[in-house]
Amino acid sequence: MNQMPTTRALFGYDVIGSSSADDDLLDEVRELATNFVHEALGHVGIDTQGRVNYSPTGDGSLAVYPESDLPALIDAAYFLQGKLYLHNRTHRPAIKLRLSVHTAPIQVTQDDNFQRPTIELARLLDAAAFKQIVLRMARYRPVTVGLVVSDQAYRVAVKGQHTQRLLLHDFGEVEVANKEFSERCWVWAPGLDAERIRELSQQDQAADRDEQTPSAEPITSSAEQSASGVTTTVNGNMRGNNFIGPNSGTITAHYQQPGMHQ
Amino acid sequence: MTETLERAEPAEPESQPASPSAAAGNTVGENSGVVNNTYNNFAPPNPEEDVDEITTDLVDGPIPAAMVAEAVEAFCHPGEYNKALRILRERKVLVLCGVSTGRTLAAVRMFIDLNLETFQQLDPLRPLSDFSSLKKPAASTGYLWDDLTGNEWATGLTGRTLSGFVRFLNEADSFLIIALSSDDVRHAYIDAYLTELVAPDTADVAKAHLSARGIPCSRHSELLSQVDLNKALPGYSRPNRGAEVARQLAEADRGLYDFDEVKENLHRRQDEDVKAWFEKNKDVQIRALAISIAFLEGCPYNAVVAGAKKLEDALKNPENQEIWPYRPPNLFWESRGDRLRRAQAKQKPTNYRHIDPERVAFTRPDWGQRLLHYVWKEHERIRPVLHTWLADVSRNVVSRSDMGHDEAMTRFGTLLAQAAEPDVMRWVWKWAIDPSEDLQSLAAMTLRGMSENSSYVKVIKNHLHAWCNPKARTSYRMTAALALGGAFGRSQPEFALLRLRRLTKNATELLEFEIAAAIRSLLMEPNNRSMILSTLPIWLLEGGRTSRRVALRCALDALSLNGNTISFSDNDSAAVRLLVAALLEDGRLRRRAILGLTRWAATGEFKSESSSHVLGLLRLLFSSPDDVLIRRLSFYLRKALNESPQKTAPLRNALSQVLKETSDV
Repeated sequence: MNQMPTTRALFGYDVIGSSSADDDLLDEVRELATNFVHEALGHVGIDTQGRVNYSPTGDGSLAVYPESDLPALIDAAYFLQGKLYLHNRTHRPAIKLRLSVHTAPIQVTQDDNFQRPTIELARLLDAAAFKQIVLRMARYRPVTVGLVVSDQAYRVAVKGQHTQRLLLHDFGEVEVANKEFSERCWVWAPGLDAERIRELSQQDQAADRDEQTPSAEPITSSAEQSASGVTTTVNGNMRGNNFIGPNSGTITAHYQQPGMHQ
Repeated sequence: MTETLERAEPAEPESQPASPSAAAGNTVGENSGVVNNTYNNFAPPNPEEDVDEITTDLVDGPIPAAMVAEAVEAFCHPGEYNKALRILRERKVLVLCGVSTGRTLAAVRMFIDLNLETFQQLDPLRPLSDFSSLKKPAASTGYLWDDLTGNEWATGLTGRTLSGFVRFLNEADSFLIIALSSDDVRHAYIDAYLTELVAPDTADVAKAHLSARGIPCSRHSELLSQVDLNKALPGYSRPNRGAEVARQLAEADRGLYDFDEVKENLHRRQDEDVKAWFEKNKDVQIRALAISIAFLEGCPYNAVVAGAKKLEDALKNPENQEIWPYRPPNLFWESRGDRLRRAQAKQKPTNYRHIDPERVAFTRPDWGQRLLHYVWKEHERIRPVLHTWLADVSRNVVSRSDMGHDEAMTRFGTLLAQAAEPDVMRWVWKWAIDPSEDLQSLAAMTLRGMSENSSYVKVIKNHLHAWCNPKARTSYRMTAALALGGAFGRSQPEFALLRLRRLTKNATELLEFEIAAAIRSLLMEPNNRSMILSTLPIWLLEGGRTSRRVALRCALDALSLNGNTISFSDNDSAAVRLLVAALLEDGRLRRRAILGLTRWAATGEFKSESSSHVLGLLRLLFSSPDDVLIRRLSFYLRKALNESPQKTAPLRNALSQVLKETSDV
C-alpha cells in the first residue's frame, strides 16, 4: 500500500531588495533578517532546531516544520512586523521581508529538496501578484513584511480559528499565478485591510510606472540610458530562489523613447 | 517648509491689559490715567499673581520612543484587543476604556499594528470640540487622546461629533484612539466605537518585561520563583505591577539589590515597612540621614552626609538651628557603614576606587521615594523645614555640575506629584524668583518632577508661559528655560519649542545658552528630532537675531554632526539641506560641520550602518535643488580634503562613491 507522507507546515522568507543595499551591508542585512525571523519564530514558541528540509536561498530560506506549528508560523509574521517596524524606524537600510506559509504532505529528506509542496511555497513567495501588493503597499504604509498564505493553510489554520493574532478579516484574497502554479491565496499586508489588498492586486502595471515613490522591491532592476537614447527596462525576476533548476523566470523588455512613458 | 507659518509664534498683543493690582497701586493724588499707563508699561509682570490661562496646541508631541519600543518588545495583548483593533481599522475612531488594563500601551501597539509611521499625543486638558481645529496631517497619523476623565468626555461624544471625527480621519487616512480613565462609559452613540479591555495576566507581563531586558526565557521561572507570586502579583494587580516586578528582579539579578530586599519590597502591604522603620528609628540623626539619602540618592557620600548634618541641625532646633543645651558628641559612636546600614542604605561599588566618588543608595528598591512620601504625609510640620533645607543644599552642598544633581533636585517635584497638593506652585515660585542660579535650577527641576502628575500640567504650562514673557524677570525666564528641557519638555515638545522661541526675545547671553541646552535636551528623545529639524529653519528664517543664533548653535546637534551617525527621513530632507546651508555660511560652525562629516565617514569605515548614514546624508545634500548649497559644499569639502588628505580619506571615498552615483544618473 502506498502511504502518503505526513502533512507538515512550510515556511519561507525572502529579503526584499537586499541587492539594492550597499555591497558592504549585504551580509549584515541578511544576517539581521535571519535573526529577526528566528526571534519571531521563538516568540511564538517554534523551535527552529526542529525544522527539516531546510533550503537557504541566498536572501532567505525555505523550511518545513511540524503541522502543529502552522498557526504559530502565521502568527510569527505579526510579531516579525513589530520587530521590523521598530528596527526600521531608526536603522538603515530598512529590512523588509516577504513571507509565505503553506501546508502539504511532504517527505523529510536530507537530499535534494525537489518536492511539489516546496516548489509551491517558492512559487507563492515569488508570485508577481504578491510582489506587486508589497511593492504598492509603500503608497500607504511603510513596508515591513508581507505574508502570503496558501488557501489550504488559510482554511486549516486561520479559518479554523487556530491563529491568535492574524485573523480572518486581516487577509485579502488574491489570485496567484506563477508558472505552472495557479491558486487562490490570502495575503496579509500590515495596516491594509482586505479591500485595499484586493485593490492593490488588481491595479495594472501602468500605475506602477507612474508611481513616484521609490521602489521597495527592485522589480525594475535597472534603467540605463543607452547611447541612442533608448531606455531599457527589464521587468521580471532576475534574482531570487534559483535553487530549483535553472532560472526560467519571465523576462520581458519594454523599449521606450525618452519622454514617451509619461 | 509649509509648516513655517503654522509653527510661527502668534504676534504679541499690542498692549498688555492692566492688572487690577497695578491700577489700585496708583491712586495717589489725582489719577490722570496717563501715569497709570506709563507705570504699567514699565513694570515687570508679576507672574506669581498674574498667571493667565493659556491655550496650548492640541498636539502635545510624538509618543516617546521608549513607549513605542515597550509596545513591541514587552507587550502582552489584553483581552478584547483584537476587537478593539478591528473597530479602529474599520471606523477610524476607537473609544478605549477599562481601568488598569494597560490602555495606553495597547493603543500604541494598535498604531504599530496599523503600520503607521507617525503617532501623536493629544493634550488631555483640551475639550472634545478642539479636534476640529486639527490640521490635516501630511502622512497617515495615529492620534492618541489619553487619560481623559470619563464622564465629562462621554457626554460630549455624540453620534454627530464622532461622524465629524470619522470624516476628518477618512480624508487624512488617520486614526484616533480616545482612552478614557473610567469604566463607566455607556452611551448608545459610542457603543459601536467602544471596547473595554481586559487586563492581561500580570505574570505574563512580568515575563515579557524580563525578555525585553535581555533575560532569556529559560531563566524566567528561576527569577520569578525568587518571590511569592501570590503576594507579589495578587489577582487584582494592574499590568504595571508585572513590569515593576520584572524591573526589580532584573536589577537584583544585576547585583544592584539583594533578592531578599526585593522579596521584602514586593511582598509588603502599602508602606508598612517604612512606617515600621520610622517608628523603630526615633533619633533625629538617623532620620535626617535617611531623608537626606532619599533626596540625594546617587550623589557622592560626602554631599549626602553634609546635607544630613544640615537637616539634623534644622530638625533638632528648627528656630535657629542651634543645639541647646550643648552636649559634646561621641565622635566614635558609630562607623559610616553602621550608620548607612541603620538608614537602610549602602555605598555603591565604584569602578575606580580612588577616583570615583563613593555614591550612596538605599538597599531596597524605591525605598527613598516611599520614605519621602511617608514623611511628607505623616509629618506635615516638617514640610517648611525640608523646603528651606533643600534650598540650602542646592546652594551649598550639591552643585549643578555634581553627579546626580538633576535627579536629586527633581525628587522634590516627584514628591509633590504624588502628594496631590492643592496650591502646588507655592513651593516653587520663591525659588524661581531668586537671583541665585542654583535655586532657579532647583525650581526648574522641581517643575519637571511635578509634571509627572497630569493634574499639575495645566498650572505648570500657565506659569511657564507667563515666565517666558520677554518682560518677565530674568530669574523667571531662566527658570522657564531650565524647566522646558528634561522630561517635561521632551514629553511636550510642541509647547516647549514655542515657549523657548518666546524666550529668545530680549534674551541675555546666559539665557541664550540655557535655551540651546533645553533644545539639546529635547533632542534626547529620538522621536522629537524631526520636529526640531523642521523648527530650527523657521527660527533661522523668521526669527530675530537671538533665535537665529540659537538655531545655528543647535543645528549641529539636530543634525547629529557632533555625535553618532543617524539617518534622515525623506520628510526631513528640506530642513537638513537648509540647516547645512546655514552652517556653511558661518565660519566657525562650518569647520565643525565639516569635521563632523569627517568623523561620520571615519566611523563608517568600521561600521557598515554608519557608512550608509554618511552616504545617505551626502546623497541628500548633493541631490539638493539648491545649486549654491552644492557649490559651496563642494568648495569647502575640497578645501578640507586638500588640507588634511590623510584624515579625510574616508570622507573622500564616501564622496567619490556618491558623486559617481549622481553622475551615473
